[in-house]
Amino acid sequence: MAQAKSLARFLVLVFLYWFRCRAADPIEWMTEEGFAIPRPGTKFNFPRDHGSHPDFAIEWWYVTGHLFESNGVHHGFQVTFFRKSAQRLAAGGGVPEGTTFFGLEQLYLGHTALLDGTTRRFMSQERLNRAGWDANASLEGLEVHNGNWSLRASNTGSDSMELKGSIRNEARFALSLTPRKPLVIFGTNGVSRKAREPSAASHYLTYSRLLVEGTLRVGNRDTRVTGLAWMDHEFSSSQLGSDQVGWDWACLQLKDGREVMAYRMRRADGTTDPFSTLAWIDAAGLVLHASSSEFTWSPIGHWRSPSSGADYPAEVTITCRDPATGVSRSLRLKPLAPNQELDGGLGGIPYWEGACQVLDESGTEIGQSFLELTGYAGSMKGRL
Amino acid sequence: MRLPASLPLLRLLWARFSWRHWVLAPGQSLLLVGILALGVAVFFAIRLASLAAATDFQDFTQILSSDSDGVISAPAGALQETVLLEIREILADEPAQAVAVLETTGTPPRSNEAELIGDRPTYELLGIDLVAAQNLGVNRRLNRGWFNQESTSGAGNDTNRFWQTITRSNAIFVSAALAEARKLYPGGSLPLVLNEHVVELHVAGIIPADPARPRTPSKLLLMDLPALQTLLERPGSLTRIEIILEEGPDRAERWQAIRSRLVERGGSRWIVGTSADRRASGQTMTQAFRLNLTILSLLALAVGLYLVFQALDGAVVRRREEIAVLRSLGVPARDMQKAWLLEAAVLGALGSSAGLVLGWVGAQGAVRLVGRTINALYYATNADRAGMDWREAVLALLLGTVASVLAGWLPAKSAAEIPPAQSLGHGKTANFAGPALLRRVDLAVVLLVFGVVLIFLPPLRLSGGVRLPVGAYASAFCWVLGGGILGGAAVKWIARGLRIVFRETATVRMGLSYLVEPSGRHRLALAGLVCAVSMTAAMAILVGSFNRTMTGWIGRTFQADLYITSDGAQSASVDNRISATTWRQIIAYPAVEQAQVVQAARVRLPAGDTLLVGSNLAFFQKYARPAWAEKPVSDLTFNSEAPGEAAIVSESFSERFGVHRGDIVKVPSPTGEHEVTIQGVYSDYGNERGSLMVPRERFAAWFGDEQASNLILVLRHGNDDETVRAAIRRQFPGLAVFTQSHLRGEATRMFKQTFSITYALEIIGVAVAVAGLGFTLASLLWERRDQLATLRAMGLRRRELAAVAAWEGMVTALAGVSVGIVVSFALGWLLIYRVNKQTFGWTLEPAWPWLQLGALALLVVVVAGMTSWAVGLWGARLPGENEE
Amino acid sequence: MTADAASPPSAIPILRVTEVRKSYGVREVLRGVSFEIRAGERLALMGPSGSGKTTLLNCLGGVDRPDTGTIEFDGVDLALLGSDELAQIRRCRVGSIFQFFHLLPTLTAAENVELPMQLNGMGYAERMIRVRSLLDRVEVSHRAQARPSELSGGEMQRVAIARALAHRPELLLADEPTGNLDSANGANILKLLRELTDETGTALVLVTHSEEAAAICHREIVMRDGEVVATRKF
Repeated sequence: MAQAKSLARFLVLVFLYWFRCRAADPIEWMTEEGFAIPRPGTKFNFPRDHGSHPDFAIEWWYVTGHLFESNGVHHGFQVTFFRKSAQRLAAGGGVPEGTTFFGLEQLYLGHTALLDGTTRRFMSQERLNRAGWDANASLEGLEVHNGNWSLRASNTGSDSMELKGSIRNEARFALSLTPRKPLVIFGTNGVSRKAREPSAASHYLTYSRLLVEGTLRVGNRDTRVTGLAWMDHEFSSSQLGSDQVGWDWACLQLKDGREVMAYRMRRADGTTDPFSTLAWIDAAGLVLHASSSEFTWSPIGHWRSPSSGADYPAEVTITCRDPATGVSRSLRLKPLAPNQELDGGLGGIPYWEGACQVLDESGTEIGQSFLELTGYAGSMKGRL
Repeated sequence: MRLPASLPLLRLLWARFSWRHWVLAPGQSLLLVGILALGVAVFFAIRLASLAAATDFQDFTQILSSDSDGVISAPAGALQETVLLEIREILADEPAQAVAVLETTGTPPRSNEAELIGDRPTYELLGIDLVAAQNLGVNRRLNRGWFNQESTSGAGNDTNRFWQTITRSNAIFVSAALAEARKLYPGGSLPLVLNEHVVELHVAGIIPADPARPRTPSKLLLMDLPALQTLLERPGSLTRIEIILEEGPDRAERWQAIRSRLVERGGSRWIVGTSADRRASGQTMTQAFRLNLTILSLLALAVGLYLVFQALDGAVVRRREEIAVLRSLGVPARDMQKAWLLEAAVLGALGSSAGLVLGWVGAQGAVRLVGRTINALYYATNADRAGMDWREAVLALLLGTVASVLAGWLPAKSAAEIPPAQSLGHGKTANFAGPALLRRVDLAVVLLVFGVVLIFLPPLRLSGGVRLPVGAYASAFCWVLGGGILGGAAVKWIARGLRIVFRETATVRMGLSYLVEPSGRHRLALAGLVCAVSMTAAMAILVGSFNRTMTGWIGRTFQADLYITSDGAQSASVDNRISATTWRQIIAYPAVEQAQVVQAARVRLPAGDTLLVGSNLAFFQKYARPAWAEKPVSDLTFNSEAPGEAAIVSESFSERFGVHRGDIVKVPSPTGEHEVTIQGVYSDYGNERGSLMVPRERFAAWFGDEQASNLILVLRHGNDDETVRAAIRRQFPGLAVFTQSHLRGEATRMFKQTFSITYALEIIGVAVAVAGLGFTLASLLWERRDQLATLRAMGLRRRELAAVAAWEGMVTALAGVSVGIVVSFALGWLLIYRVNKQTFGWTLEPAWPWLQLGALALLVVVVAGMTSWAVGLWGARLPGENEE
Repeated sequence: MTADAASPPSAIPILRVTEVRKSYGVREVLRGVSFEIRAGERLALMGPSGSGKTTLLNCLGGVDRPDTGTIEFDGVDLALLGSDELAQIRRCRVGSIFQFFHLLPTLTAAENVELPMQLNGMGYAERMIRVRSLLDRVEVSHRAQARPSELSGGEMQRVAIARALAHRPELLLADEPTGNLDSANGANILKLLRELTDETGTALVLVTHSEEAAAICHREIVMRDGEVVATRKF
């Protein structure tokens, strides 16, 4: 993608490279532009903190998961709501003017995707809207929408949520997500560090095991589905370091009731950034972090996208110590289908985000996962 | 016995005769093709142009994505953007995009003070959400950016550029065509008058275009919606919301489901239509106008065919011997007829084809003229180019060819009637009989009477309040045809009378002798003359009446000193307005004694769109001095303090919606429906869709808005209008300020401009009728060449022979003119009391321009005499039929 | 220059006229004319103006119809034929020559001769050969590309004769063919007519005032007031 073009592609870039080594005085907990920097010891207040945090420049609600029909057909799905504050990007400019209905303070970018388990066809759609009548996020609780896509807390009083999404007129789903485990807050003291710089950090809140129930329509066929989903809610104000070119991220939901979250920040020289992390969540919801030296991330299979030309290491083995047994485990992520690339039709930057099986050393399926691979469609360096 | 092989025979006749004649006399054939081409071209050009102007309701969504499925608009005034939240709820999970649109028109500021109304281009400025626009189909498919076009900015990345673009004040996107034509590239700027301000618009980029979608209209400008709302001081206002569903096989069904939810939820607050409705309403609105244009253009075609008929008939006469020989060589009469029809058809096809090319070129010019009229009378249109419409092209081609074959019918028939050569030269020259119809004086009387009956037919009422005076048109047809037949009888009587007067002059008597029993050829030429003269004279009567009425109306209506409007509005558009702050400032000028603040909005009544006007009725009564079709019973009507929901309506309104004094009309507004009682009906020639006038305060309360569309000032005694005008222009360069005399002048000028085309058509009509007479005489003289030889042998000189022909022609013209003028009075009456009243709801004061009619009559007779003289000179040179 | 030198006419009648009568209004133009003409025979039709010669000739050519009586062409009663069929007979089997030649002014001499063959659907090559030989035969091949307006009267009539014979008619009808020519030219035309009808075996009906013209015929019929008053054999 040498012909760097549109705004929206940049937003994707910004959203996906989430931190930046910009000198900021950590004492003031504020960036140059006046955005908040995640502060250790922050006390979260729910349901308010499920809602939007416009003090921070970047925020997203990211749901990925697996849906099963009664006959066992296995679909993967993704719905993402990004929020980006304008001031962050208005180089030197003031706050842009807009109106309540057509605001300019925030932009919302959405992605939806579905891997049809019957046909193995992967569909995705992107949508960009300004804050206003057609896209917004509540300051009071979980309530975010972008066009007809929405994620809202159920009005039943429970912790469950309602997720609605569509991909053009090809697929539609309406799902109830019910947490099976308490909310996880990754990082130390409420802050997840991503790079050497203290400002490169986020508040990273996750429901690692959501029970899914609902309906899925593909074409004009409606089916009831059940399954498991993972939801990240993350907000920050800083971008990637200049030596980082992309990252690989995965969430694993194991049949034994535990989950693993891992990311590897890739540097230009091909090495793994020491701020990469792996975390185990046990059946009770307790988190155990492992540092970058305590796990390995090894690509074992590749898929080349015919449209973007990117060569994705779409099959990987993660090796780490199982905290329950103390024994080293080798967890293999095997994609349900090779082509799970979001082609970046609107944004212009393709990335791979796909449903995988988790296999153990003997090849037995021990869970499901989602794998995210960015920065493979050509070098992203120098585009910021 | 073997039947003649028709096809090879036709080919032979074509190759050896028709074609040979064309080659031998190419000028004549080219002239014929040219005449036909002109006729077809006028028809085609006018059809294409009016079609282009009427269908210029282009939705921007058509350019950026597929057609929108639905359009939501307010029944009166603007739609409030708060309804978007409801729309969002109604759309619910449906994959659909709602595109909010704010629309206005703007005009470049005048480059000099003396510039005339309607001379500057009108731009269409659309406000849409430029961020959401990127989700529309075309962007998805083409991956073309909106915000990456400015190369001058050194500010680095694309994202910054986006914010710079979208937050820069007055950033617009222009069509590629405009960018090219006006060198308006990103970074450039375009000054435009919007409301009362001259606004500098900055070009941020070119509207991305998909070659698969309709071409972006060149005068379309796009702006971010909230920016336009701010610029126009219309916060929260929308013109419409377009709904675009994601593609899919069940798209129509999904739209129907959404549509019924929209209708149910909206009630009377909004109207759910489609973009096809919008286009159709434009077509409905201009239907009568376009029909009139089509009829005018058909006249041009008819004129061409009349000449083709005359020319083909002349050719048959001249090629009589050839036909006779061919007949004696065994060519059957039927094939002879077919050969001539083929010749007419080929002529028609060639002429029509040339006409299509010519017409297409002409349409490009005509579209501006037609567009200007539509702009002034109906709505803002930006049609600056007429596209090729193949259905219209086929229609024009067929029409030209078929009509040409029809024109060739009689000549072909007379060709077939020519006997084989054996019978030639034995005194039995068949006289051209012409259509038997033209000898039926009894039928003429029936037609005239039937025409009288037809005038009592009511107009045909079409949707949208459009009326067509079909009865009047049919009646006109009957009278013209009846008059045409009577012309033949008239010439007979006139010739008989004159023969008694000119007992002693041989040439006159000789000339008249041919008219005592006029031939079919004479009768046909006369019918043409009667038709042309009567229509021309009737048009003169109509224009004269219009002129008198308008002069009176302009004199009465424009009594105040200064008339102020936004300089951005030069059409029937009500989009450009004067803000309350500005008009309050102006009426507070010390020089101003009284002021009329006029507010206006388009509203939709069940029977069609109309104009709602808020103004001071007392001021209107005093300074516009309306002529009342139905006068208010009480002067309380003009007292804005008086209780009750009083209103007055224009005559067009009354005609169009069929309402009168005392009737109640329900008027929609953003605050709901209001009932008003009609107190009076006034004459008005400004707006054929009608207007309904209520006190301004009430209008302002209904619409929650004080922006004025016009401001009318009466100055204190001793203040010079030009001085005050200059002062206002200095303070508000975006306002157009007219003095009373200037406005009167402009109104008169625009009115005259509208009628200039009719003058041109009149001249053409008369010229053709006289030319037709010339052709007729030429044919007659050719047939009489033996007689001419005899006359020469008897010692008549050439100029005496010419005088014979001149008399024949002049007396024929005299008969045509006499009958034509009489018929024209009837047609004039019809145009004034039926066609205008029924179509536009305008009552005209009749005026009979005697001098003009007399001059027309004299001109036709004199020109006919001169033409006949020239033809006579030519005829005097013809050798006798069997001379060597 | 007598008919004796010619080959004797055949015995078969190509045309049989029986009791033909024709009136225009009250004026009776033909009052029971009967005669026949055999293939290859030349018949002169003489008589003063108004004796009905031309009317008779028009009836023979199917241009006009008798009120009563029959005209049989090769055994077919012309009264039974429609106008298209009469046209067909003119086109294929009858040739005509006129006093005023009636050449088509827009066609060249060659094209005038070619026309009847074209009307009869003859092929191009054959037409060209025949046009050439006919023009050679009537001695105007040097004027083949001239238009009628460029020809002299004699030349025009020669071309007209070539045209009349072009489609090898069985009957040639000639109405005062020398009436508009000087005597030298007239004599040449008559000679040509005699030779050509002998060569082709075409029957000829020659309407004429002139004894010289009648002299080339085998027989002559003299008409007066619509009746045959004398028949003479040479």
